[in-house]
Amino acid sequence: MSNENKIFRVSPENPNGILVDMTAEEIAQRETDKANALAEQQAIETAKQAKETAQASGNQKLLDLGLTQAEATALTGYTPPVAE
Amino acid sequence: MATINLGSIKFKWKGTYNGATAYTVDDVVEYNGSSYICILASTGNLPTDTTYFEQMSSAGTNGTDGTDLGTTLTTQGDIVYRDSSGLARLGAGTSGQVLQTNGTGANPSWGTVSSDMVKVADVDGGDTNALAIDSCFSSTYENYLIYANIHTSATAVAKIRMQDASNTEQTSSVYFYSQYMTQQYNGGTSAGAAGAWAGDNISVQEVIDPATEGYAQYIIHMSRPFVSGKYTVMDISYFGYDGSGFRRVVNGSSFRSTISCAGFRFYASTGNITSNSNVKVYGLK
Repeated sequence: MSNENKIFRVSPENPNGILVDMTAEEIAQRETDKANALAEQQAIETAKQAKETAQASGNQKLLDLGLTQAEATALTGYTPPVAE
Repeated sequence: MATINLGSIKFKWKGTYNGATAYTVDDVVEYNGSSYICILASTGNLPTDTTYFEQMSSAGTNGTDGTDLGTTLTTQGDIVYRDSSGLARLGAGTSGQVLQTNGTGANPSWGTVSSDMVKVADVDGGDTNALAIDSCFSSTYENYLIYANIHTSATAVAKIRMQDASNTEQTSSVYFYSQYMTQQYNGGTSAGAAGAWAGDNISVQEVIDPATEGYAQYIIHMSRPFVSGKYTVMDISYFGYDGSGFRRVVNGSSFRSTISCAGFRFYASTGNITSNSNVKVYGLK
C-alpha cells in the first residue's frame, strides 16, 4: 500500500484533510502494531479453534452416552456446524 | 367701465428664488429645497424674510436624520433596523451567522447558532494507514458522540488511539476495556467476552473483510477527553460484517491517562483506512 506510511489528518484548519508522512517513530510504532496485531489474530484463531474442538469433543461424548443431538444441544447450546 | 384689479387669482410659480427679480403677491419660489409664497411685493428680500414671504412647504432632510433607506443601506447584504433614534444599518455578518435579537431596548446583531449538540468534524478516509481527527475536542464540549463507518483495504482490524493536546498518538499501555461479542453466521450463533488490561489501543472488532459488502460501524459516546486530570471513558457500540458473519460488540473502554486529549484516530492493523470510510464527531454540552 503506497500510503501505508502516511496519515490523513483532518483538523479545523484543514477540514478536508491533508496527507502527512509518518515520522520515523510513527513508522516504527506501525511495524510494532502490525506484529502485535498478527500475534493477536493468531491467538484469537488458536483460541477459537481450541474452543470449537472442545465443543465438538464434549458434544460427541454426550452423544456416546446416549443423548440425542437435540438433547445435547439443549444442555450445552452447541450445534454442530452444517456441512456446506 | 370701471376696472377692478383682482391681483393673482392663482399661485404663480416663479422657480428658484432670484434676488434680482421683483416678486409680487402670490408668486411662489423655491429656496434651499423649500417653497415660499410672496405676501408683500419686493425685490432682493430673501424668502426667509417673513415680512415678504411665508413658507409653504419645508425641504426634506435627504436622509441626514436617518430616515432615508437609500442612504442608510450602503452595501450588499445590509439590513436595516431602528436604533434609539432612527434607521440604522446592520452590515452583512459572517457566512453562516443568523440574526439575533438582543431583547427590548437593544439593537439586533449577527450571532452564531449555539446548540447543545454540534457537529465538530465530518471526515472521510484518505486511503492511509491512519485517519487522524485532530483538535476535534475542546473546552466547549465535555462529551462527544462519534459515528464512524470504517473500511480497510485489506483483511484487517481497525483500532482506536487517543491523541494528546499536540495531536500526538498515545501509544502507552493505558487502554483498558471490556467487551462482549455476539455473532451470527451461516449455521450458528456464538458469543463471548473479551477485553484488554493495559493495552496500547482499543480494538473493538475482529477481522473485517475487504469485500465491498464488508463494513464496520461504530457509535462511540466519549466522556471528557479534553478535561485534564480525568480519565476518558468510552461506551462503544459496534456492528460489522466480515464477509461470513455479523458481529455485534458492546464495549466499555477507559483511556486511563489524565492528559488532555485534542483528538483521536482510527488506524488499520495492516493496510489502509480507505476513502469510503467516514467519521462524524458531535460535541455535547
